[in-house]
Amino acid sequence: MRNGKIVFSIIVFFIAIVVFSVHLNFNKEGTVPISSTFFVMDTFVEITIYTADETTAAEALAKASQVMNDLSTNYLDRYNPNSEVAKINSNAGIAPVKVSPPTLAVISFCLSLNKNEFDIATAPLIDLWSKTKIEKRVPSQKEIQSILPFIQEESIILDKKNSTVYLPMQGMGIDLGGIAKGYVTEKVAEHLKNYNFSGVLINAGGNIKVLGNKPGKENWKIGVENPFELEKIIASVLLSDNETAVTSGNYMRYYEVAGVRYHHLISPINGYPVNYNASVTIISTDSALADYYSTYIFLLPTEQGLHVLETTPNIAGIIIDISGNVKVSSSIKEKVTLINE
Amino acid sequence: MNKISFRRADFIAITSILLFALLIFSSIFFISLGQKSDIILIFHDQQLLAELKLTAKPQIFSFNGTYGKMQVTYAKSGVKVTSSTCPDQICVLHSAIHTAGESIICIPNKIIVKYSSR
Repeated sequence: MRNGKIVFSIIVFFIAIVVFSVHLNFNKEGTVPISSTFFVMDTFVEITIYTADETTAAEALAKASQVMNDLSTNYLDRYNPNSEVAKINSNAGIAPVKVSPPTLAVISFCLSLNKNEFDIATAPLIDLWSKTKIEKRVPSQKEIQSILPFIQEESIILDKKNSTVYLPMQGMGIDLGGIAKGYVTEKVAEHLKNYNFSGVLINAGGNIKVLGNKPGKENWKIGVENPFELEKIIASVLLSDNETAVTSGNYMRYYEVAGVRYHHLISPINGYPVNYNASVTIISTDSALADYYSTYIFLLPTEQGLHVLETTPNIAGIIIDISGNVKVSSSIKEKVTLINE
Repeated sequence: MNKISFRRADFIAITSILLFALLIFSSIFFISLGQKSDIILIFHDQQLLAELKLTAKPQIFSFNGTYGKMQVTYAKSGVKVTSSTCPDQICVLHSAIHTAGESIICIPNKIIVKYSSR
């Protein structure tokens, strides 16, 4: 009897010690996120890794930053004069340019999807709107009309055998702003998968990609920003391992002339910002695909965009139209929670 | 099977052990909380530009980013970007930040204003 009580007391003591130790170790091993932040392609990037191995995480983050910088600087960022896309543009109407696999892959991917409302040859149009933004005015109809003949991605000559890209008219220009971030995010995710960290969260200027799990949680909960009230969340989405959420919206990059807002998502058909929707968030397992479709669907009338969401494989999403109505595609309704404040 | 019977003294002993464990846990928890103080970290393109202590009286810190000049007003009540020469003014329109983990980002200036706890 007496021995039983001693044994029981020892058990209680050890349980108390174990509970105490587990608490300390849980903080040490599972819940300390290791983050890195940097700027790439005119975007703020934050990568957070959940792991016990801080040294390996630091090494992986340094390499991730390098991968993003490399893809941007050497291949996809047309604003960098040494990038392959900048060289394609400066050789428009002159000669084909030999390109590397990343540039070929992104251009080829966009051309294969072949949508009228999404055009990668919009560089001259974007440049016109950037110029008038500085001048605090709206481009004239004449200016727009003079640019539109150059906006035709179907005339891009892609030679896969020789890995060359040629823009047949001087004045043409490729801008990969509607897909490059997604492609780069996917490449960084591929790099980070090699480490088997318990959880990774990549946020490349609104392009979110998750790997594994957040410690103690089954899914990652991602907020969708309210396009009408900045810094407020209009919905939350649950993402699981390898999923991505990419948002295109009219609320971050814009300028106003005489009280009218002109945002950066421009129709390649008529040359003006499109005002059917306020934001489109795409959920997928492929960040490049999600990036492409978030821009493409933003440029479509809301119901048409919803139809594309419902009928295209490997994408789902949330459309917030210009009046603030929220439409969620059927396959993710259980993962989305609308927040009414 | 033998039943374990408890006397009052046994309960006192077991409760004491549990309270002792709780005391150790609480002490460490509150000591770690007490050691933290709120600061503002300002990064320019991954380089730490300034580490600012928060005081009750608002103070102003001016610095240069990639695009041009910026100014941050900071106090215990909150931290805000009060001016920037950047074109979009998104950083200036951002409301004040108050808690550790919050940031204000200026992409043209490549500046991160981070509310932190150390």
